Amino acid sequence: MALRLRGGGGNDRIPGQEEVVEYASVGRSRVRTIKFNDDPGREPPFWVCDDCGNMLLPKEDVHSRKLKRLCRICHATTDAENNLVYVNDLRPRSRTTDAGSDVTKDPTLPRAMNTLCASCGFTESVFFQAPMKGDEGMKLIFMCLRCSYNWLQ
Amino acid sequence: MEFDDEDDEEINQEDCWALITAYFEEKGLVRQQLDSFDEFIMTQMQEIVDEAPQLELVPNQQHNPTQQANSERVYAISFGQIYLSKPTWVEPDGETTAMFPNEARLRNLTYAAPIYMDITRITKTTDADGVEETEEESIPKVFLGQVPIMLRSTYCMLADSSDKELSDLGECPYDQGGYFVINGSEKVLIAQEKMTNNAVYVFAKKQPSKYSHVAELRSSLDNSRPASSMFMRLLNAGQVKHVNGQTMHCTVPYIRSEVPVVVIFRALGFVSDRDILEHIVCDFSDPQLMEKVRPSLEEARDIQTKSVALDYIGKRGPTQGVTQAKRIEYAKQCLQKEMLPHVGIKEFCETKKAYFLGYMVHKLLMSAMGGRRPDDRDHYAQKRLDLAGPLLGQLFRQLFRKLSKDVQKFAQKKLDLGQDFSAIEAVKQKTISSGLKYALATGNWGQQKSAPGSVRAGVSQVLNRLTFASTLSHLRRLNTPIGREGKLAKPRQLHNTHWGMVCPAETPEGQAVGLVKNLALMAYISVGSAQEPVLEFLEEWSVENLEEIQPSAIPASTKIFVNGAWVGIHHDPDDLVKTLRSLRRSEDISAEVSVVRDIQAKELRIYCDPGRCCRPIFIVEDQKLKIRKSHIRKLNDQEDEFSWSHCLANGLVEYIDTEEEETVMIAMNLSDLRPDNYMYRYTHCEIHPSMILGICASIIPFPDHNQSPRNTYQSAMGKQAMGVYITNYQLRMDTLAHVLYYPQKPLGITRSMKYLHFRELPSGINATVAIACYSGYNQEDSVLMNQSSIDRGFFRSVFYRSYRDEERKMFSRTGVAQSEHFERPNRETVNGMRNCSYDKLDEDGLVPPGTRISGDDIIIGKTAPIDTQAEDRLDASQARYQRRDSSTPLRSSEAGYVDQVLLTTNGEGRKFVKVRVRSVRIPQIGDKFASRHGQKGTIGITYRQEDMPFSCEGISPDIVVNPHAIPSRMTIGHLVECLLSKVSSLTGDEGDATPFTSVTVDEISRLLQNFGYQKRGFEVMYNGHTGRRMDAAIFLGPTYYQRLKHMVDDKIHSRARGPVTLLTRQPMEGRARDGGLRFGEMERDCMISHGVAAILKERLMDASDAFRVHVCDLCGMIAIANLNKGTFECRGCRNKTKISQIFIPYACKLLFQELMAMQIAPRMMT
Repeated sequence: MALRLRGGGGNDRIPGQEEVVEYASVGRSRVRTIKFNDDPGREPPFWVCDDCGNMLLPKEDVHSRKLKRLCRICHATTDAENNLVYVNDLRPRSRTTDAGSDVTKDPTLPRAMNTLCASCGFTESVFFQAPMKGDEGMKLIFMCLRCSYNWLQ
Repeated sequence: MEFDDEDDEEINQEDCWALITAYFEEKGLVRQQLDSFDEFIMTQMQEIVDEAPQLELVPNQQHNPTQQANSERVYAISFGQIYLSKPTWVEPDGETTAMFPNEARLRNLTYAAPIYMDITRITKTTDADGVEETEEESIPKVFLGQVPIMLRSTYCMLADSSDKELSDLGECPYDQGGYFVINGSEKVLIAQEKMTNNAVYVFAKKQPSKYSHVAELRSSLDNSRPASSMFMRLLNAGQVKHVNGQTMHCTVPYIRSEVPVVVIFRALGFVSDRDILEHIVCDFSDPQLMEKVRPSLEEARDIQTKSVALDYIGKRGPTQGVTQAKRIEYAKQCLQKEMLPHVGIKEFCETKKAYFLGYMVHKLLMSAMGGRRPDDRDHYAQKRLDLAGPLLGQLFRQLFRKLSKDVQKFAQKKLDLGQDFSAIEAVKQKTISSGLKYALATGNWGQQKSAPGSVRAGVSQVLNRLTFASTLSHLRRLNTPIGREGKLAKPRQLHNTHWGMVCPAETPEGQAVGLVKNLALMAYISVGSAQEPVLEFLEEWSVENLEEIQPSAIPASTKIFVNGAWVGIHHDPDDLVKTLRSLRRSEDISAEVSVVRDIQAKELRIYCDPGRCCRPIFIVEDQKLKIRKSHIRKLNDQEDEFSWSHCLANGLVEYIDTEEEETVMIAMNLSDLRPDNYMYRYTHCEIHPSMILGICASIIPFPDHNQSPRNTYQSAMGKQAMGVYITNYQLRMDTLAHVLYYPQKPLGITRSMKYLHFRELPSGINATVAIACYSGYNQEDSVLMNQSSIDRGFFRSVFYRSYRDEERKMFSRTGVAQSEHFERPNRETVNGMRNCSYDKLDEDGLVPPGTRISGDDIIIGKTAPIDTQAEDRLDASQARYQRRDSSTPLRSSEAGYVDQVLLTTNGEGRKFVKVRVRSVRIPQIGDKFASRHGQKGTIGITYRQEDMPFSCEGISPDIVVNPHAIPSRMTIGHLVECLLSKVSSLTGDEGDATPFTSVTVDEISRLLQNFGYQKRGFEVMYNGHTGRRMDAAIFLGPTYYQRLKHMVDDKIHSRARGPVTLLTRQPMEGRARDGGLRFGEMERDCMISHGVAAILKERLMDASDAFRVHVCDLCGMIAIANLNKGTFECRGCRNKTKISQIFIPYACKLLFQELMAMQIAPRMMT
């Protein structure tokens, strides 16, 4: 599996792939494992210090061989609930809309009468163009008029 | 609703026109100019005065040891109410009269009204015991200066005058005003297009670049202050060392380098990562977005407190080497006063600013992640138009500041000298009067002596009076002030959002294409309304203030912006928008407020700033128009006072601006509004699609049948057509004017012409036109014209030219003031008289009306004094002269009759004369004509009627155009117009050639066939020369033709010998100076390649430019030659013998002398 990796947020994610970096201690060294993950709900973690509200950084406690999370400002250290350090999501950003159910009230959107909502079975929907990525073609997003469930064409 | 339901009939297309008529009856065609100017006079001017601070004056008295200072005085001057009177004129002898525009035009005066202002002088006295005493003296109505008044605005003398009153005042009732009269010339302020302030745009940077995306914002509190720009840039990964990923940097006003965004947040008091993230991503449910912020947070890790952040910013400020406390204070001030001023410049705006900054970051990151499309710079919603009001406001603000500065200086000076000052004396009335006049007269917008970059040229232009349509079009012109040479095509292109706002056809060709635009017929420019009522309403409707909300509440609710500033959030935008719209439709808030609900972005943007383009459209509810037949009946009923504004106030139509237009669904036609249309839910309906056109394009019949560039060409050409440019032309003294003899209204009319008064003031004739090849004299866009028609008066026109002169005051060397005189110069006593006829002058030095005059005759005799005392008068022969001639001759190439002579006094009380000369122009070979479809041509030959082809009815054409003009140009409208006009000439009605209607060619053909003609307009014709029937049937019918102002008699030019320029001895340039025709490089090359180089030498050198010089053989320089004595000398070489005589071109000699003047010695070695 060829993974194209970029630090931080590269713009070219490969659909369906996700890089998960997990912390593991083998002997005295830290091992970086890159796994393929197709769990759609996976989100990159972001930990914030409860006391001062600043970012927490991963830190290895050499003695207990446990992952800790350290706040660099107030120097508080907490135990990590899991060994996740970093996730670089290479999948495209969710294509359907997060604008909410009000979209169906937009008078400028054309309506379709012969679609089938997978959620409620209603046949009427509004549709609009999905934001285009790179060189892929135009895609439409349909949104059910009854339940606001939306799907990609 | 006040109407009952029984009259609930749907309206039809004809009813739409009733509404459009009501619109133009109320608004006219130059409403934008008048509204904008009225806004300036009524509110803006007072606002500018009110915002000026009170002047504080502390006398710096000379120390006087003998006098003990027992009391201290401090003075203050404050400016109060402004008063404006109707335009008045003060004659130099002190007589004050009301001024009327035509008098200003004729006497070269400025049509302006005096302004007065209340001034309060406050004197604070503190005596030795420290007891304060304040004394206030108010000086009412101090004369401030003169403000030019726009014609037909509220303060104009002509406002609300009836047609009868107007013509009694020498005005044309069809003239719409909207311009100024400055020194007798009519000036229009051209609307200036600019980018809107207070909107965030995100653009992707073209790679390779340091940045990946940039967010831009031009923030300004009000439109008076220059906007402070802010750029937020997303750097590409690797641009910042030690940080893995893309960081964001942002500019801060007055700070030299870009500052990391997180540092600004910390400087605003939002220190922890969580606080910052809350302002950017609002809730933590979008980890991807949060991940994009991480590099920026990492970058600013070392700056962890507010004061460190402020210090970081302060260190990069302009002041160096100051204490840390000062730096921090400076940075604080910068953030409070200069950064994002539209959010607030008072204290404690940090929360709002942080939210706005966060909003910008959010937009930037969303664009970078591909979550939203980058913004479009050319979208017309992002443009604002500066009209007369805002333009004058800018200027008035500058001038008023200068005035108050001068008052302060004057008073301070007086006080320092220990004198009292008078506020009336301190106010220099010239500042405002001449400042406004200068800008309007020259078009250089800005103060006279200010930096060249800050003045804009060409803002004020001389109103075009060629034809009535060109005047109207000029009053509705828009200009984009970007470099004409910029080759970027995008700002010049027609944008989708121009629909209904800007004419798609009318734009000049060449350098300014697409940069100069024209307003569409029904476009309206907002004049601006107060935002307070809107803010109050929002407060009432429980919009949550940014200070009071949890950031986590933002994503679920709708952000509310008023004029670009984020004021709060709301949970039920649906309801809010509905209420806002209904308030606007009942005019509880101004009708020009725009309510934009961006559902996808979860934003509600409300605008009430000036300069937005709006247009009226029908409101549709439940797929039905709100306007009913009953309303139309009321509109048509003359008794009923139901007008356009009632339609607006009753929520039948509304103004929609370019941005709101994107959020509504507009049906193109009434017929689209069907309840069974399931695809679209319309909210509005176009009033009529032909309203997208501008003035000049509205004159074109069937423009929807033409290739689009042809409409553009016609829009430019219609401005050169001659007709009746205004009905009071006999009472005016325009420098140039053309008036057509028998103008006709066209047979094929568009509905819009009614509003342009094209039928009352037409610019053409319905000519019988055949499209045929006949004799070959109509090739290459030339036309045949019927000489017999010309003899009957076809396309005759009068040409008027006015000459003006005044008696100027002259100063002799001794300083004695002497004046010029209008008189008949006498050859005995007047020096420098021309070699032409002075005989036609009367005793008063002017030609009497009715005199026939021809080229070079003197029409205004004037003499100037000469200094008889001057010692250096050359010789005795000149002693007899007492005065010098300074008369005005008629243009050498023109002839005609003196039409009218006006003798009056000008603004300075000097004698002032205007002479109008008239000549009749009969069409002849070479004169230019055009149809209304960009089809222009010159007369190739004129044939008498007997030589023209004729039809079986004996009809012969007035004009024969060549069929080759049609196929490549695809002006089908031309043919359809002809067909329709043919039907109209038979029915006796006007034919409807309005675009986007249901009229079809087949329908017209059918009508024609019913009259017994060939249905497509063809006729069998007979050759006029031979009488034989021609093989092809010929397309014949009436077509409306225009005579263009270009005529051979004004162009014809030849010269054998003539005047030369003094310096180079080369022939003069230009026809007006009887100039030569250039024999240029290419012509020269021709001669050489033809092998006749000797001809070149002979013609160009020997026969014209040869010059004899004497050259020293030793040094090669020009020597001194005295041919009378026969002595030659080169002083430098002490050489009197070795001299050669050579011939060189005079231009060559001149070049050598100029080289010598710059220390280069050209040597001619013989």
